[in-house]
Amino acid sequence: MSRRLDTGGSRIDRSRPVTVTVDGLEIEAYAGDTLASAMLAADLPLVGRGIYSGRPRGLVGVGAEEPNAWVQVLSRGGEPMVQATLLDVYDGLAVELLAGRGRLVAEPDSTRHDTLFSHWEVVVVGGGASGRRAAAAASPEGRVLLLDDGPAVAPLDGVTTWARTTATGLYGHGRLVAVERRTDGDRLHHLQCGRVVLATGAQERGLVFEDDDRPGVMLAGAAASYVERYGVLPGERAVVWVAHDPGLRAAVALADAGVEVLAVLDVRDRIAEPYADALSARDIPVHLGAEVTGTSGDDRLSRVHTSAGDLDADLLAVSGGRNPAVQLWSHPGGRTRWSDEVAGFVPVTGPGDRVTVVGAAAGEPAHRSYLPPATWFRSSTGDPERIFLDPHRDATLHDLQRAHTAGLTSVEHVKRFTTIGTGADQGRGAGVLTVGVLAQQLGRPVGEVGTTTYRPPYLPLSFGLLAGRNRGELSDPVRLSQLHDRVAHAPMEDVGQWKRPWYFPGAEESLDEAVAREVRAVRTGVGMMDASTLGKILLQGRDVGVLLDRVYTNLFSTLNVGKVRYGVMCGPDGMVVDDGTTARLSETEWLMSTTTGNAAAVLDALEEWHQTEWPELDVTMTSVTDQWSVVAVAGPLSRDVVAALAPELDCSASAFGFMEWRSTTVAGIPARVMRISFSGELAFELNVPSWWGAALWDAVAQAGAPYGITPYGTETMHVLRAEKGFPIVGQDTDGTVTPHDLGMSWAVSRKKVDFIGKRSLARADAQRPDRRHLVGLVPVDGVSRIVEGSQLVAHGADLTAFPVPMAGHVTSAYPAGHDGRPFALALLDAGRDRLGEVLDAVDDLVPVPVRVTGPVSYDVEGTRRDG
Amino acid sequence: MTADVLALRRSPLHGTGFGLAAPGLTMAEEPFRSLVEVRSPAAPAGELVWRLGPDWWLVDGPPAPVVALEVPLAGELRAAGGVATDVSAHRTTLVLTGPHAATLIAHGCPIDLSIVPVGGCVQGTLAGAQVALGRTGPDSLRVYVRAAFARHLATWLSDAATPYVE
Repeated sequence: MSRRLDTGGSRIDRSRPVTVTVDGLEIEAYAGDTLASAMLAADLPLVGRGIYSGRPRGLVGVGAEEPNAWVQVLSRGGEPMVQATLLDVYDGLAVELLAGRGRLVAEPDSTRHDTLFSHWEVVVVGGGASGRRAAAAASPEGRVLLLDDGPAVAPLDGVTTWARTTATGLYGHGRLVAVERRTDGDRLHHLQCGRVVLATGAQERGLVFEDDDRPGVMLAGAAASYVERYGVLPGERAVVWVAHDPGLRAAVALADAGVEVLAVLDVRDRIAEPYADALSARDIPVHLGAEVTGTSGDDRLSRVHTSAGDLDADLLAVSGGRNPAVQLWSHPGGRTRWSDEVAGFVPVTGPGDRVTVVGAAAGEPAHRSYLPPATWFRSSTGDPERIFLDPHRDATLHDLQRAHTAGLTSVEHVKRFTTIGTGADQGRGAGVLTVGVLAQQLGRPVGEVGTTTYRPPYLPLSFGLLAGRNRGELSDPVRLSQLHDRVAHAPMEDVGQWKRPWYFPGAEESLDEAVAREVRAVRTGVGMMDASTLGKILLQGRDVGVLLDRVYTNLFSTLNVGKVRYGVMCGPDGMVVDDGTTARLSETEWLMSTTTGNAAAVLDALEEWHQTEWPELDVTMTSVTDQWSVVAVAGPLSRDVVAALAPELDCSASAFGFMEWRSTTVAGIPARVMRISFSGELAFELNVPSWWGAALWDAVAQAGAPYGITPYGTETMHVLRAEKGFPIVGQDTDGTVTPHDLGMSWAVSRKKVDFIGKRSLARADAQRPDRRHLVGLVPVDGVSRIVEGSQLVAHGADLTAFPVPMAGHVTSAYPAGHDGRPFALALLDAGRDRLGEVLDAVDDLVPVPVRVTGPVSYDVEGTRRDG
Repeated sequence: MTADVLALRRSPLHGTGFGLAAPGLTMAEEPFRSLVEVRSPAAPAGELVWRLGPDWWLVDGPPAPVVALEVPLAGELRAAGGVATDVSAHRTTLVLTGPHAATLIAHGCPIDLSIVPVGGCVQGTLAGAQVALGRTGPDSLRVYVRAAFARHLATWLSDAATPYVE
């Protein structure tokens, strides 16, 4: 049976029929229908069930206030918990009814949601009469936007208009977030507004009584809207129960549409003449001071019980008042107060000059009822367990009374106790009703009870919408070295946003096997790796040396041109924050390298110190990380490879010393070559402008081929450096480690007047002998693997006797070094005084006996760096 | 020799197929521009000079057909009195034109580009990548992005352009 009228329906296009499937049943609708209007037209009274009670529930509202009609969309990728009153139908729309809870869709969401930023002098939210007036008046101010959640907004001179757009959050400084519903996916708008005018109108609220959740009980204004917007008759025989004049207007509209209005009940003891006349002209009996006491019916309404007798009806239209839509006003901190004239909470103290509110949302006099409305929320009788305050949460008057009995009187406490207003509809319908009923229960004025706090978002936002296009490969920027294509076949390790080659497996080679082979190549032959990702900062000016002396723990100003020095940086607390090498390029130019993950933080810190503390220093800093591609050539045979590549360069140990750099050409490419080693082996770092990075890699591979040059990745680099006891900041340190703890007192100047962290390093705590020191570990049996992150405890400690005293932890662990045996680095209490001691390294309650060693396990004398 | 070595250069978007020529929107990489950051109180001379901040400029010049550790433009600007840093290979240049160009950027950048005049430049993040955005005309923008972020940004721009391609 269709409830569609032959004519009417301002929002539907009868020339465009569409088919919609609800729980497998096909129904006909028109373009412009919402799922709710389509279901009402198809006379489907059931739109969902109570989340706990399982009671049948019907359509109550026509917009965002709807508590019951939340469905699982199955078509177009699917989406859980969509409000049927805001879901525009399309051909092929398929949904499933829910009992208050949706389910996540397992398939990837193929919908194209996106994000757009825009900037406006004035944004008006709400396209009703007040909003249009405000927008028109603001149009000379510049870029003015009028947005409305309806399907169309009539054009307005000098004003941009957006339809199908709902403002969901208003934040400080004029930031408004809105969702535009589009056919191919929603759009999340970030609007920066000079000022915001809220013309959000008011939302109808109902009245509560026994069995008020039976399908067929609707808001009166919503019932009239279904006639006007969609040409759908919400019932054939109706009872209307109201507490204010707009409800009477709805009764007249329903009667004029062809609904047989059996009776109008008004809680007040008189109504204004125009309404009395209009109702009497339509032969509609009016009962003053009357109320509904309950309903009957199977799965839908068939009988209404009232204080004026029982009536057989399939529609009970109720209207208890209109709540000014103050949610957005409240988001940035706007306050509200109860107004008896409006019978609702109205805005008072504003969230700031940028936000104003007009029209019904402001409770302006034109939007007040013709007669002072009664503040009325519930019938005086009925079983509290069947009086539903919040059908979305299945919460009843009984629940509220239990909260009261438990001693709760604050509306915030009652909300959390009863869960009223915590559903996906955020209590848009139930909130103020509950406040009213609670006030009656407490015997206090409504204004004294107050409302709960409204927080964004006004409507639920899907995670897919929040993510927008930032998903999959675009979820976070990926940084790639300029020779990435040459190494892209390797498994990658994520280092910050960088992708770095992890290891280069041969056919059917495991990680451990590949790393063992790569380590062997560097220790005995020659290897090559992409070292481009290290941060690089060019410092220029007369006072760079002074700046470096202050930010590094060791002395830099004495460094000669052509030389490179390693330095450690501490924070003001004396803890290590970064390390790296700096080359002096000329009298006034220095090139600093930082760890891969820390480049931006180091530059920011240097700029901050320079700009806020030492502006007198003649220094400028420029990030040049991506300017240079760097290939490290390491191993005893590296000199032969570099000599072949750079014929103009004398790479003998006497002519080109350790920690020096030279300008030359490498395979014809202009280059800076540095003798730096992170492996302990003879090594050269070749720096070229990064657009030659791929060419450099190819040239090195070609020149190295006769020497069996082996590409290696970050894993091998870590093994090589760990054997040399070189710490990695952020892996072997955690913000509680001083240079002394790392055994790097040699890098901390005692001569310098000051450097960042110097004072903190002088504190007694920084000099405690039992601080955690960096040490090495080897398994006592020579073969057991040590797990990174293991806790260090006394050997043989009873692991079941909690708490087990902990002496330190493993910061780096590797299955094999140059000798094929497992080893690790660790931070250990007073570690340097405990060499030779045996401890247990415990992972997941499994102890591995380990012996404490010095952090350097290979080439302790440092004889290999010159080849 | 010079020609051979120059031919070995690869711009950050080499081989990615990045580019678009649609009504209302074009996108292309201009590789190997001479880009130099200059610190000086006065604006340096040049055809395209962007102010990045107080006493801070980016000079954008044509590609230099020389094989050198730094582009000649850097030396020229240093000789003219500024503190100059070659960033030619540090950043690459994307050129966006057409009425949709600014909207495209607004999908991933919160900056109000409509108040940036022709000749004006702003710095910020676009799709999570640090960029400098310079306006060369009412409907044309130059995007300077770090080489390491270039492929990410190109992928993002190509995706964001989807609604403007039909």
